[in-house]
Amino acid sequence: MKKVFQPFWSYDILKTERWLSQMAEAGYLLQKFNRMTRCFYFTKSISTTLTYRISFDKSSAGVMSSTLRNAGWSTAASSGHWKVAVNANSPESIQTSPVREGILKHNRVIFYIFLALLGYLSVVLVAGISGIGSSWLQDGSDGFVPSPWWILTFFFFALVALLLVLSVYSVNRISKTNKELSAGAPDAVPSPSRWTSKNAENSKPYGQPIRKIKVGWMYAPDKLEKWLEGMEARGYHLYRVDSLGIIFYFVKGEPWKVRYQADYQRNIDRGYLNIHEDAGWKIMFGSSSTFDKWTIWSQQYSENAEAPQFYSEGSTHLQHARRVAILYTAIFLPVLAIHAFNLSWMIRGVLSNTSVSVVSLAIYILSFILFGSFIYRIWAYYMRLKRTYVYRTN
Amino acid sequence: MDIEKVLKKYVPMTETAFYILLSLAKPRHGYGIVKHVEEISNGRLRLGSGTVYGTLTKMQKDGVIVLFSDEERKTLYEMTDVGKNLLETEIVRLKELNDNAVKYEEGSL
Repeated sequence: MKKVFQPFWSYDILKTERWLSQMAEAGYLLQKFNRMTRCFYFTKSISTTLTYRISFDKSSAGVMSSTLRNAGWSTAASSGHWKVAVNANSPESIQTSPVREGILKHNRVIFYIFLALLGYLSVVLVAGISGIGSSWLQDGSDGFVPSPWWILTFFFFALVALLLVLSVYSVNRISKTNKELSAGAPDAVPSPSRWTSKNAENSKPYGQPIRKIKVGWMYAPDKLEKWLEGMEARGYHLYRVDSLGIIFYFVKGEPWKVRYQADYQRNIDRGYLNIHEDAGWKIMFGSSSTFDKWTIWSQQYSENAEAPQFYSEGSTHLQHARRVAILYTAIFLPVLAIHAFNLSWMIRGVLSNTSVSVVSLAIYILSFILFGSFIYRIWAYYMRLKRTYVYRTN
Repeated sequence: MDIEKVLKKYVPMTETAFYILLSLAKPRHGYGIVKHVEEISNGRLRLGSGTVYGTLTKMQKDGVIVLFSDEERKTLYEMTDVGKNLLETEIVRLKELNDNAVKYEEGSL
């Protein structure tokens, strides 16, 4: 059995797939791999033409679709959530394949872990260097005492430097792969922000565009929907939203009936974009940030028709609202708690006549109110939605 | 998720979930499900794409369905053996409901 060490195989999936095919061409067939030791094991055989597809599937099923099995796919090897599928049919005849979305999602997680590590290591390194530097500058005599333990310090810094290089490489490589997977023609997973700009190009405005600024609509998405629907009814047609989702551009025309839906998803994949587009929804906005995966969809309908429903079942709509509410609570509640703690100290200071900066007190009170309002507004949205569905079923 | 847990979580199924799973006896695109359900319910049920996507995501996570991509790189959804088991269990329950409904109509209940 031939063993090959591939430390970065999961960073460039396309390259790894090509490499596996080349190995098969050379007569080395993949037997197993280990995602922890990063080793691939091959058995020697005759030269074979094989197509490999690597996938990452976190779902509890872990089974291959029967259609894929019938199309000649089988699992060559798997390790953890990683799976390598293989197909012996001629590459041109293969039409179906395992999905790539899982890899993109997984890569994104790894990317942010390394980014956080990078931030942390930079701080450690800068602090360490500046510490050494300043003690040198101050006075050479008391800074250093020669000691055999110094080897540990140097070892630590060497480790930090090594990790730093690894993080830079990982962040770089993963972002490149994800861009390739997102942009490269055959395996593309379209990014919602690109779809939005594509839509905007198709609907160039006639006349003077009208700009409206809307901040913090994600804490009351139903109000944004109503506002946009009202604008359309008065003849102001939304044609573009800026990339941050703050500036809304309208153009004046005839009154239209348009249904809007602001939707939050933890991950936006190809299936998500396809199903809504096929159902007649047009994507007007897609956020590119990590925590706020918001999209805004619109669908025009005729005067005497029923308004199209994005969520036809109340429970799925409410489930969506609850997820958003819990997410924002998880983000802002700790911040709120820290503010409350600091504020209580400040107020205690005021009461005991210790000097407390009025400006910082005001800033603390204001941000406390602001973060509190986010949590309040998102749960108020959830309750509003809940009431509409209770009312509807009665 | 093993079959006992799936049954506990899904049975009794909502009308929407039942029809979505029923549609996936053969692989379909997301919107293909919407159209199929509208057809077999004689236009009575027009599922919203958000509801369908949300249900599909949940079903995939629980191993009731799987997905793969076709030659145009569009996502296809298909029932797994666990999903089939769930559907059959639900059908037994629905048949009981139907039998009793028929008995009621015949006045024999």
